Amino acid sequence: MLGNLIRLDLLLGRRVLALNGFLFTFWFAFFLWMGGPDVSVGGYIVLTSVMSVFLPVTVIVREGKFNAAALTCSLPVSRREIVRARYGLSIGLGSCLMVVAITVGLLCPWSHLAVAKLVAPKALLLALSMIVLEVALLLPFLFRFGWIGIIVLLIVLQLLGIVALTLTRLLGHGTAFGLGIKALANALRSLYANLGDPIFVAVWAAVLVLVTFASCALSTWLYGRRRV
Amino acid sequence: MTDYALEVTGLCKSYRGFALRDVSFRLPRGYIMGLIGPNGAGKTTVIKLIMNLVRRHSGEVKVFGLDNRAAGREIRSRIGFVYDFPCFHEDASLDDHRRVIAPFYPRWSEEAFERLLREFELPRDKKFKALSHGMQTKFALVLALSHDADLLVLDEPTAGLDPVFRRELLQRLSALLQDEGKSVLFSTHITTDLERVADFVTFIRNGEIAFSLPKDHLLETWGIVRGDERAVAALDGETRKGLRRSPYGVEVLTSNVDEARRRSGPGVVVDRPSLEDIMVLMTGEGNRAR
Amino acid sequence: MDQILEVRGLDKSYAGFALRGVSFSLPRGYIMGLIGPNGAGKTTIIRLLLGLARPDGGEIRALGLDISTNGAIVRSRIGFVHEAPSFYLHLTVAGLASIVARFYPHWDATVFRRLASEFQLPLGKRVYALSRGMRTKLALALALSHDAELLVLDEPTSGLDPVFRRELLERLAAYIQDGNRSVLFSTQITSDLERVADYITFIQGGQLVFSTTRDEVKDRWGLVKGGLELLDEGRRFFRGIETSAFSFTAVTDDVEAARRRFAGREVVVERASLEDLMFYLSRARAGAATGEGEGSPPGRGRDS
Repeated sequence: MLGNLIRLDLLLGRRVLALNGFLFTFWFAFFLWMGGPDVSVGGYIVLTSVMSVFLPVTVIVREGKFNAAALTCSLPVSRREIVRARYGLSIGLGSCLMVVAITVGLLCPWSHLAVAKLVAPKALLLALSMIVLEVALLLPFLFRFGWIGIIVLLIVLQLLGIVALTLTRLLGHGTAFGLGIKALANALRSLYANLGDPIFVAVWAAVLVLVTFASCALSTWLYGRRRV
Repeated sequence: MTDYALEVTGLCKSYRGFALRDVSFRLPRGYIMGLIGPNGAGKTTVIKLIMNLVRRHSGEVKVFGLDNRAAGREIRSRIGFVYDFPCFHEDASLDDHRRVIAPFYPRWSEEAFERLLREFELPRDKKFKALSHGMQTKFALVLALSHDADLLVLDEPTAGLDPVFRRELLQRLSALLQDEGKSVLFSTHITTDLERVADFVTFIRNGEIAFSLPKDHLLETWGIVRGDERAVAALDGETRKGLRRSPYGVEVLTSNVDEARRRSGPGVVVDRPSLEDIMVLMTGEGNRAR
Repeated sequence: MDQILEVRGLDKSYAGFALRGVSFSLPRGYIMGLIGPNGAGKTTIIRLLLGLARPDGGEIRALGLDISTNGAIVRSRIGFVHEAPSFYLHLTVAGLASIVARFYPHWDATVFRRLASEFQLPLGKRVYALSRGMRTKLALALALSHDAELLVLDEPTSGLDPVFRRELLERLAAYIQDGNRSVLFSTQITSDLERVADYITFIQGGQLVFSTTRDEVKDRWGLVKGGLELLDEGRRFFRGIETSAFSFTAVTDDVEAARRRFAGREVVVERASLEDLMFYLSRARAGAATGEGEGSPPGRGRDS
């Protein structure tokens, strides 16, 4: 059943998939060109992951547009299966696009990224971690609010960003927001650094699995209540 | 012990500005039930609740004897559905939909799908959004009929379709019942279609069941008495189900023709009602402002 | 009799579809129902009537004027109801009315307000908040507020419950009471036609099958059922034939003649409802392998 559900989303959304896949690939290349030598491997991976996670999102939200959710929910599947399939789809597609991003980083003539670093296990694990974390964060919103949820989330994040930037400019870098962003960046850096350590990786993998299950359970609960 | 395809008991659901209250009715296996009611009365809500697209507030829905929430998956593998809104992916073709939906149904029949596609004259490679409304509905019907479903739940499956197709569809549905013991629940505004094939009729009005009766019983024991205000007074009571005043007099709907004749005295004209008459007389205040 | 609408030899081709030689008339003070299977050409005819498309051949005269030369004037005197409004959803009832009003020189706001109140349409309510039936009523109120002499409705009752439908039909009947105004409406719901139409025009496959009074349909059209061996004898009476293994069912436009022809034989000749007629005529067309199908040319109504 899960395979059938994933197939459903992939097949019916293949046009959107192809279109966005191409678009994002160009964005990766463009980003490298814009960033020039200032782009670090870690930075590149984090930023491309934020884009990549939206590929499965664009596929999933199409359901909301034409009441197609009524179709999926009327099939002999449970809401839990629908949610699980979409988590699988999201992590899978997001990861695939990360592979594309890394490939672009390797092949682009204007890329200044160190090849060895880019294909190191640390980098790949970071890519996967980012996708898993982002999926865990985004999907509950999607399941609760549909495509509007994503719009809302994006707008909220944008607003938060603007507020943060304004406040840091006005009040100096010691504000909560400024510190918050710094803390986030630092956390990501240390994550990246630690991914070289096998013990850390094992523990971290367990954490990711837990986070995913927790997020999935939340999404199942939310989607189960949703009027279709 | 009757075998019921569908049992709805005490179903309740509230929305802002609308509430379904204590809805109960039963459809025995091998029969067709028509669901009628004015726009906004709750027909689509009932159907969505049966399909568990919406969570019920209270009450029980059993399909093939199983609870529709606990055994949702199993039940839905045996239900063919058509909704009164399009629920397919606009940019995908009919064939795409088939490829994606067929694997979910254990009793899917490619042969049935092909045959129906041909008979309904639907192009398999056209995008869903390129189809006219009527063809979109036909497509939903093809899907619902291609997996040997034991229960068909159809919400306005004939709106926008010409009488010829409608009649053929009804014949098809009747055949399914007779030959294969399938059951059908279908809601429609075209009451003449129901008069043709329904075994049971359930009327929903303002979120409540006004009646759920065998069609033949309904059309034979109910009647319309035409008269004046005296008739209205004479027929007051439980059996007076509705009335309508017009410049030409009053029409009173009674659920017991014999009793009505007794009460009204000789010389009173009592007509057999059509389903449409029943609906019209049971809706509205009986006072038409002009 | 004054004809409010005259269609003569109408031709229009699209890819895969053609309207051919359609002719019918509608006198003042009557209601005409336009029926036919999906894709038969009903909407095309209406579009041509409103000047939304130009015919390839033939002529349409409405209110005594030629549509091709006086289209704008004619349109200002025709009220058109085409499904429930699905545009300008964010406007209020009154707002939408004020927009529509600009297109019609004879717009009467008092009439609209009166109709809105009769139809129970709150002037301040937004169109998107109206149910489908209410929107159809709104469309009707708009069409009735500019002193239109001809009301044209394209499937106005589809998706409406019987209560609304009956109300709508009663409104239409009231509209023609003055003997000067007429109604043309296309529908799939034949029981509505049987309730209110004076004339019935049946279009199939781009051609006119008949256009005549409802009474004449009732009196003259019917079904003939008998054994296959009798089929050849009656072919010239039949407008559409459906055969099964041992018997045939045919539609005839002359029940009396058929009765006389088959008197004493094992044949049933009976009146048919509109729906029956449509059913058998369509089936016969689909199964035209019988070689007969529509042997005779399209019929002309009494008022041609």
